[in-house]
Amino acid sequence: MRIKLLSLIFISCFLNLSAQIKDKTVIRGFIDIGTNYDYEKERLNFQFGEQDLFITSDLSDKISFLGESVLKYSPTSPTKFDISLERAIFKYNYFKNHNFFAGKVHTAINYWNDTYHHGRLFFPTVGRPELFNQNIISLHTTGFGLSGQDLGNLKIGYTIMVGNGLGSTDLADNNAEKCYVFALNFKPIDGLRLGGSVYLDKIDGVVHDHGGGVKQVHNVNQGLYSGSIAYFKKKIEFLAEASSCQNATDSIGVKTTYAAYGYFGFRIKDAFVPYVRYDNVDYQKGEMYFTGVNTEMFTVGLRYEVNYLTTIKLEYQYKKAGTTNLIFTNNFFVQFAIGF
Amino acid sequence: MRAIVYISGLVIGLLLVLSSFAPATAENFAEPQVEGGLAVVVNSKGAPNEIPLSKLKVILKGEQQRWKDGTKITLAFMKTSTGIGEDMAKRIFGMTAKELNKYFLAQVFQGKMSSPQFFDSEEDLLKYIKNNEGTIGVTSFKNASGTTISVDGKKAI
Repeated sequence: MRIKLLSLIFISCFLNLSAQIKDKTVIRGFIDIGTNYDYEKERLNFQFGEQDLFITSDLSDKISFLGESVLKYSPTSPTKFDISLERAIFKYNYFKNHNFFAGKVHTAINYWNDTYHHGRLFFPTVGRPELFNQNIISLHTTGFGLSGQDLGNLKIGYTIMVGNGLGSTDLADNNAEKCYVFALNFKPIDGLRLGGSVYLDKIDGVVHDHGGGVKQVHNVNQGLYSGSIAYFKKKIEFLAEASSCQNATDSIGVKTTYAAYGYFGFRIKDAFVPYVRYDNVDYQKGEMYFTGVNTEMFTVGLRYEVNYLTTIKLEYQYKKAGTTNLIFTNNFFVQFAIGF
Repeated sequence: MRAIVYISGLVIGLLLVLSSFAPATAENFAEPQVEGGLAVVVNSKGAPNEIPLSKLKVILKGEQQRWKDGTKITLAFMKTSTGIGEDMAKRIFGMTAKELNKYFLAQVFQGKMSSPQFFDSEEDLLKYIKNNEGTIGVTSFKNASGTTISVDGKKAI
């Protein structure tokens, strides 16, 4: 009898808790499909992008969870698809707009990485800028830190974080050194955000980059310094970000890489946004850590926002890559991105 | 040299942005579409009795996480597909329904705020506000019940 009573109490408590949590748990998703025409190969490709599942849950008055997992194509997987945990963040709101957080985050290095994550629906262009594609910035960091947002009249935001650093897995660091992230932004007027960040890391060991590349690295001291201006209002959209990355080694000294992009869009008749973007990545001669090549890219496109959960983008890209033997590529993209 | 080029680019961008601003106008409400106007209804715990419009916007946009007494602020609205929701988006947020929905989706996706609660009926919305501490929401003035607060000295906005 006592066991039955205890079971009943336990079940009712569980159901009550489930109901409370369910009430404040939100599950959303994003997906994109598209097509591109490669002029050099004279080939039309159909593409399935990423399926992004996104969960937020208020576990209590002060504790919340945010998770983002992505299903995407992987040539090395037997099923040709992989599941990737992109973000898993526990947040404790300890005072007003100040939080303690722990988990795997998109490193708060720049506006794009801190804002758009994996939701193509939110991307102003079809893809990420070149400084992402060439692994200039550390996309993810697993660790803990403090953050704040919308503080005072200037709406100041900050992130201070300690993490495993480049080359680490989600379970363990690959060396004894930690990485440190310091980011500051403020929004002096509605729609405008100015930001700057510093990322410091000592890289040593086997490094897997976000694109699936693997390399052996010995004692690289990395300092990544970034700045951004973002202005998004009804008519005008403007985003410019620049990063300077200094990789220092005992053998070849300091080598500096510069990467930047600028985006400009102008809204016409509520739903249409023609846009342009310019990307530039410039490696110093003798750079050992990065394996990319100097790249310039020009992008022009049109975004049609059907509703707040559906966007269609048409885009043309012209890319010039290399130092002595330049490679020119032309691509035309159509992307259909939705949220659900 | 290259650093100077990039920094110059950022500065030029900033100047372009600043030069595109329209002159500031005084904050006020557009004419209401909902008969009798809108009312701001709050749970009895946490919220003040009166609030300026500028502060109301900050709170409803999820930029302030707690009331002064430490109670967590929860947002509850009519769906933007309803007349009240559409009117609220336009007159309080200065956005279309589409823009407001996208704004909240993006803020939640960025981990900046908890997802607001949206309702089809005013009755359900008012019940939710009454039963959940720290909640603030917007209803029509004529159907408002419970604790309503003044915005810039007005109960009906």
